[in-house]
Amino acid sequence: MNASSTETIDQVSNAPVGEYLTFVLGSEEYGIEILKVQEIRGYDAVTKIANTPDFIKGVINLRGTIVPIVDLRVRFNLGKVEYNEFTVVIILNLSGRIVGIVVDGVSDVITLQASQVRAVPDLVSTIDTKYLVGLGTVDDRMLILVNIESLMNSQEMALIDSVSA
Amino acid sequence: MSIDMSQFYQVFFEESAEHLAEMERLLLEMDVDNPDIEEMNAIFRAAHSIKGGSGTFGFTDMTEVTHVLENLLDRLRKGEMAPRVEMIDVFLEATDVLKDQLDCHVKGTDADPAVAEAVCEKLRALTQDESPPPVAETPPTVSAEPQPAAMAAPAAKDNAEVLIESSTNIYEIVFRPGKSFLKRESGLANLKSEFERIGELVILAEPAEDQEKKKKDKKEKKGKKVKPLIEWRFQLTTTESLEDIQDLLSFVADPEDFTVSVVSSPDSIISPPAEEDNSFGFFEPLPETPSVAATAALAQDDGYGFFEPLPETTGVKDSGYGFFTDLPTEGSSAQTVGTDNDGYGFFTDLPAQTAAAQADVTEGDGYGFFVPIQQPASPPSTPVLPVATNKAAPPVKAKEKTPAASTGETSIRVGVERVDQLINLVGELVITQAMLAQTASEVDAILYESLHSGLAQLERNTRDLQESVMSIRMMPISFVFSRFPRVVRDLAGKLHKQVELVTVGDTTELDKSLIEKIADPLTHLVRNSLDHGIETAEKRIAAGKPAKGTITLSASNQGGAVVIEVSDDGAGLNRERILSKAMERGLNAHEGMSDNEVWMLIFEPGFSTAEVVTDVSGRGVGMDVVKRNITEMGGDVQIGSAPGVGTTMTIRLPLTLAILDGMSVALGKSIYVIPLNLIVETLQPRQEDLKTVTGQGHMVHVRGEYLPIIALHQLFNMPTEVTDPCQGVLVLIEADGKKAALFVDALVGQQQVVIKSLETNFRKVVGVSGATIMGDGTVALILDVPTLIKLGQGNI
Repeated sequence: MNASSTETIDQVSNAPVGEYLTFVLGSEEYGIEILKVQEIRGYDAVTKIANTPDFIKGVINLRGTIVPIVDLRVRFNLGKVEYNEFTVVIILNLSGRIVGIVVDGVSDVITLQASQVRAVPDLVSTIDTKYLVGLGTVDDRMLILVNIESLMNSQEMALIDSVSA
Repeated sequence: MSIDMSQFYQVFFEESAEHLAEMERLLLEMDVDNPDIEEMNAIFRAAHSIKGGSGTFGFTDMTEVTHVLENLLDRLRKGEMAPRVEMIDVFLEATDVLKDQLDCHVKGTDADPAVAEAVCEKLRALTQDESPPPVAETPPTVSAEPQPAAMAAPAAKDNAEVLIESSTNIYEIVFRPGKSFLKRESGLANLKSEFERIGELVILAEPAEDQEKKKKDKKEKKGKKVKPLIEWRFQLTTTESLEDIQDLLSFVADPEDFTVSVVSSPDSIISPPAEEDNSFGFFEPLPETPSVAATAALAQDDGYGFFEPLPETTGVKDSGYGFFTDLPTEGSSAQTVGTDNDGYGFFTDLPAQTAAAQADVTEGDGYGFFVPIQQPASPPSTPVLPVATNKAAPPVKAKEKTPAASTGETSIRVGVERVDQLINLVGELVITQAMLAQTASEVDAILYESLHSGLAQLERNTRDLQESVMSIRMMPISFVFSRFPRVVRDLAGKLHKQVELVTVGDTTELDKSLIEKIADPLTHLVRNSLDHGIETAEKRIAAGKPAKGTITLSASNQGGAVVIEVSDDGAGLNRERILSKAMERGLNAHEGMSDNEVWMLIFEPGFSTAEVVTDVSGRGVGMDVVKRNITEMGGDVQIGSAPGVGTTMTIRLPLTLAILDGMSVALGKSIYVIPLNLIVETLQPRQEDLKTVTGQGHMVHVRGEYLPIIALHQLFNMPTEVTDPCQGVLVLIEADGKKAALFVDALVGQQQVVIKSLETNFRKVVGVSGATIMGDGTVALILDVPTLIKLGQGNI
């Protein structure tokens, strides 16, 4: 925990600059580092896995690889959870580990300058603010910049064994 | 030009292991009373290849053992000595020593030299045992004496004189390498091999230190390399021009380090420094028949040699030896004597018809070919000596030349991970094809006829492709079976039993990973059969059976599984003894058990019925391990036995670990796969078979047994409409000796599935051992039956 929080502090100063893929969850706009994104695809039938939290939708077959799918809308408790032809899955490649996240929609790719990034104030949210690396401002929009790798690897996501977490 | 030899080590290790296995197989097959000359030659070639390779790579300990081994083999294959059983024993011992040495080199450690020396000593004793037949006058000392020199001298360092045709260019090269060159162990060897590539190389002089050091051991020899002022003088006969040679040299060394001069007369080279300290030779006086054209043939160490009929040549090289035998030839006969580089000589007395018959005897690093002796009794099919005078290799030579090259034509070595990748990709292709086919089935078959026929073609092609790709991983089970003749032979000798091993179905193929894993359990079973199953000869005769017992190893394909049987015609299992022993050990045993149940008791941990604990078996360790290993492979083992008739252990294995025979079952909207080998049966229970304990604890009554019902939908918290076992299906599963009834909605079908790991991108899920992709592209989870049984009992 300590290690990851220091890592987060570092990233407040360094990481926010760069290209971000932005996506919409409910009415909020989020940004994740574009380099973590492998591909974007539609939502397919998933295979449910027993006794897992409800935000883990299950696993899909991504060209022969078994990939777990997390619905961030459920996890963040945002928006109406619907699965239709417009539901988007962002496939992330996090240091070789492939995970899919379900979002309401993908907006665009934005390059953020350091001047456009603000620190995250202390507040109460469904996820620990330590996974938020900053708030980006583009015109009137606010992007919530998420360190998706440490979020996905966190114990709260129950995506990996607690031993390796 | 410096090549890092270590990159070839792996190839050498693999090839040597193959050669050793081949040698062992041939030795075990050899009929001592009626030896097959071809087999003898094959053994010799295998030994020689190892010798050549080990010499090249500087594994002198192996060179040494193979060398002594070769000496004896050489005499055997030429019929100078008759093979005896004890020789085979010593040969087998020698192959063991070589295997140990090879293992040590693989691990980078040193083998115990004492062991090697002991076996060399035995071999030498055997070599000297019999006096040579009259024709080949081989003083026994010949075989033994060259040892010190040959042992110490790696093949690449040998001197050799080659008698050269006068038509080629001859150069003298004086080479004074700098320190940097000398520090590279392989530098000189590379240089030499380069020279030999383009022509004939003769080493006229080597540094004095080198000569002395040769007699010392390998470690010390390394030290010599850094000594300065070392000079080699080479005589090179080649068709290449002076410039070419200089170019070649400049690759290897500084231009200041060498001088190349043209030697005009080839005569000057026929003055071999035969009196080099570690060279020796002896020459039998040639019969002074006027017309005899005695041909002295010399073989050079790293590559080839050739012989010219020379009127008066007695060339002998340092660490080899040669000798000329006088032939009882008539006037026009020619005599050829070939000497080999580091050790053995061979003599061919040619029944030559023409005068000045030429013989080429080739010897090389890692290969050689040997001219079978023309014996009076030998069949006319014995190969005729090839005649060659230069590098243009005769066909025989080419075939023998490089085992790597020849296997290269028939097989390639590919990393397993590459094959696995291929298998994965093909798996994808099959799934894609299935999805396409499903989509296409929705369009009009008449309008889109060509689409349909194209897809049908695709389906056939992908299926063929998948089969071929899967077969890459398959290996014949003979890889495992081939070790057993030796095991049985050794063990039978130790136990003083007469046993014959019969193998059936050697070509049955099995996944490579299974081949590796099945070896140990099988060895256990075979040893067990030999120790406990087969009786002594006296007992067998008393029982009216042949004195020689038979152990049969058989493999066959049965459906999607491979069945391996180990059967013996021994005494069979003793029901009473097993039962009493089991009760004594506090195992769950009673008189009412069926035979099969009783036999399975021997797989219980800590069980042994042997009255006397031998070092072969009987400590009760083993059978439970055998069972566990086989279960881990997804297989099972069963025993059939009849008193006085014998015992048969039947192992049933899946064809591969990557593919699982599964039963797909439905639960709500999901499909799960249960490994078929863990399913005992499936049934639809009747209401009266369902029992409860205190209103919960559901059980089903199946043929006298009460089995707990594990409702999968409860365990997995999955919604389903089927909550009454009578409406669904009970799958009786068994693992770790425990049975349970798994309640699912319905059976979907039986199919082979490719196992995928869930943990690659996710985590371990309790009750699930993996996942697989179904024909429609969806993911199905494979149930972890042992865990489910524990879960059902609330043990987790």
